[in-house]
Amino acid sequence: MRPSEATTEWLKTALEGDGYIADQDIIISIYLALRLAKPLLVEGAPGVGKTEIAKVLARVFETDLIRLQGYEGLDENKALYEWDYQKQLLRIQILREAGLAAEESDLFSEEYLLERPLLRAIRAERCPVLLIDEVDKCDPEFEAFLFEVLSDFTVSIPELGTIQARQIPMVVLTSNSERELSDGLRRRCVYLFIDFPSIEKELRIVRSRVPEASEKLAADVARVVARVRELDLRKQPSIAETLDWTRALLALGAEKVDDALLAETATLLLKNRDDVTILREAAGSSDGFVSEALERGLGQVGGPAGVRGPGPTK
Amino acid sequence: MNPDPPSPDLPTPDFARQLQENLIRFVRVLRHLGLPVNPAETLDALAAIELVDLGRRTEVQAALRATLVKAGNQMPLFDRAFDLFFARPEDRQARVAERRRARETRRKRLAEAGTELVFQGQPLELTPEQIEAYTRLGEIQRERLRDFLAESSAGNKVDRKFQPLIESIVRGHLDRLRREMDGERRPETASTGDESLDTVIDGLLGAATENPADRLLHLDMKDIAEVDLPRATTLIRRLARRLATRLSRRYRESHKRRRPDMRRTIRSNIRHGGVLFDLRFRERKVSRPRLLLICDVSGSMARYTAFILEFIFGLRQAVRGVEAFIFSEELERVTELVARPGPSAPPVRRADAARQVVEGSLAGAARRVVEGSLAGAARQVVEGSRVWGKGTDLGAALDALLAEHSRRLTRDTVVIIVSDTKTLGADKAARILARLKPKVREILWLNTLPRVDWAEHRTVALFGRTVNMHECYTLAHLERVIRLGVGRRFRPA
Repeated sequence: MRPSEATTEWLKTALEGDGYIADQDIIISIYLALRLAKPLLVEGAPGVGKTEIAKVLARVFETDLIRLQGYEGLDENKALYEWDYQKQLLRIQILREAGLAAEESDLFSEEYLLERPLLRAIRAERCPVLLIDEVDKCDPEFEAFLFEVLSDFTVSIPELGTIQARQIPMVVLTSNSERELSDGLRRRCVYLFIDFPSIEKELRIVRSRVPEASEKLAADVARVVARVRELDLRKQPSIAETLDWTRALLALGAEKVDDALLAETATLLLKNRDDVTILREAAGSSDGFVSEALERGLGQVGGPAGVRGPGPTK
Repeated sequence: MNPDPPSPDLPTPDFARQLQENLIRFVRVLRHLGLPVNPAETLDALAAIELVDLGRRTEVQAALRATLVKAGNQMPLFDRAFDLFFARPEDRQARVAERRRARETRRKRLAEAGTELVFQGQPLELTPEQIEAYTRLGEIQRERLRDFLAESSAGNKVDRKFQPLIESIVRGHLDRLRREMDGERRPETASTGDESLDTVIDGLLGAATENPADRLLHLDMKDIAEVDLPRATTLIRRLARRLATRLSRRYRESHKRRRPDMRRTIRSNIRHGGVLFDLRFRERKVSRPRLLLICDVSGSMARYTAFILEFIFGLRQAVRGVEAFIFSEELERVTELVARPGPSAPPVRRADAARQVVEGSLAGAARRVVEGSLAGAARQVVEGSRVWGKGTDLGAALDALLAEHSRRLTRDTVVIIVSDTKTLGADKAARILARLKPKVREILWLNTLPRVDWAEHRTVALFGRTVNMHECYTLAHLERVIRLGVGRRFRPA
């Protein structure tokens, strides 16, 4: 299947076949990004499966995943290409010792070119998935450079000439909203915001990723995690942590979740001492934190994202 | 996936054109709601809806959302706009009709008001805004005004000559009431000139501010109600935490702006026979700023100060040190009082302290400072005068700062002054401010007066010459000022 021929139904089946449970928003956004050949900008809280989208796309289209991790100080040399300075220097030394002069064209040839992720994506034989992770951590200058590359997929290397991409790679950019991205970058992208999953979706994720867990345990886990996300925490538990917790409960031979078990295993869900204390106190109070969580319907969404008021007080 | 019921709006004979027109109208609605949609995105949206199944409403919605909305917090607004705009024709008709009725009622009331506001049978000369304000008054207030007019009309020896006098009294009264009411009212948006679009926009303006956290973020800090204080405190802590993570990330060593370090390069390349094989670089050191807060606590400034202190102290993990001073007539250092237990305290105790802050009615610890620690004389001043700015003496406070705390003023100190600029001896204060400026890296002034009022106050322009003045009366302003004002200055220029 070529990316530009994918249909929504095919995508949905393929992603689920790979264990990525996607709702309609995710499917449509990916579909549009592929069909319109535009980058997909994914935002959302940490651990809701942003990076996973790129990985799963690479798997379903059986192609390479080229990853560029964003960080402050990332520049063109690290992202696009660099000349192998040491190797060039060695070459000059060897030639000099042999009594020959170095030709400039010899030194600036493919042999001395260090390909970085962006150039690799542009020169790839098969249409790759290019993941630019945490693009919000890059500097604004790099972002400007990035959207220039992303809009025409051509690179000019003065010594070699202009390189045009054989095909437009599937580009996935992820952001944790540490910094506002520029309008220019947003404008060029198809946008997807992933919230924490609803209880129902999380249940399906748990069932798909941890098939050994019983239906009952998985449902308990999804409900309790949704309730935990409503506490005023530094960081809400991510899907990865939900899965770890489920596996831990399985290892402990648990059939269902109760307050004591939640307090004992809280460190798997929350990775911050203050947060763990808050959760243990909530589970330790006599209100029955878990039993209250278990009474809920499946449709409710977990923790709302972004800046928000505290969850419902009980 | 269950197929959605086909949207009755979409399938029509002259399909493509209608679709385009509808989309463009929808984009206009979004722009009026403040969502920045540009033509390139509109084109994308057009291309996108041609790719999805138009029979499925949710698919169309998802496609438009992916191409037109580029920020998570705009999603709810977009969804409501979509629901209202692509509503069933009969629903839309009903809303347009309802809006017409509302306008009609208003027009009638205006006409009535004109006949009610008379002096000895002559209608008063009032502007349409003043009459409009009258119609918005409660029944009791209207009654009172009518009584006043009736009584003065029937007064002894009162004749037509008194009309201008009566008019000016009524005008002044209505103008004042109008200003008070407008404070609560949302501003009217410009009309699009298309009735059905206006209806959608009107229906959405109220909705835009529904999210409680968003509302608090954009509310004047002095208007945050007691019941909202715990939520406001949580919000402040969350904002501060987010900003602190962001700021502290900026200290990581930078790979940019590096310069070759010749000495180290040569030394380390001696083993390669002097060929410069392994280059060494040196970087500029990035220093964290110190923050020094000077907060006005006179009169109604106290509330702002409490919130701002709470916020700044939430940043302590990102900045090297925070010093806090409050002043009205005298300067007092309150750093120890505001500082919460440091990271060395056991987590349980810290959680307790944090909860106390949440539970305490006004931004917790900060309130204790403002109320509890004011020096006797200063407090008397604050309590004795309810007039704004009276008893505030910035000049004296800055003088004291320079004299007694000069060791706290260094080239990497960012001074943040929180005040509404109303002070005694403004000219002297401005002179001392100019003396303070070269001693520190930057002076930021958080002005709690709305920017629109700045022109009325001479002091704003006076201090504005020396300092960076920022409008800051909502939490959103505060977050923005600190993010841009302090965050940007982490690197030496």
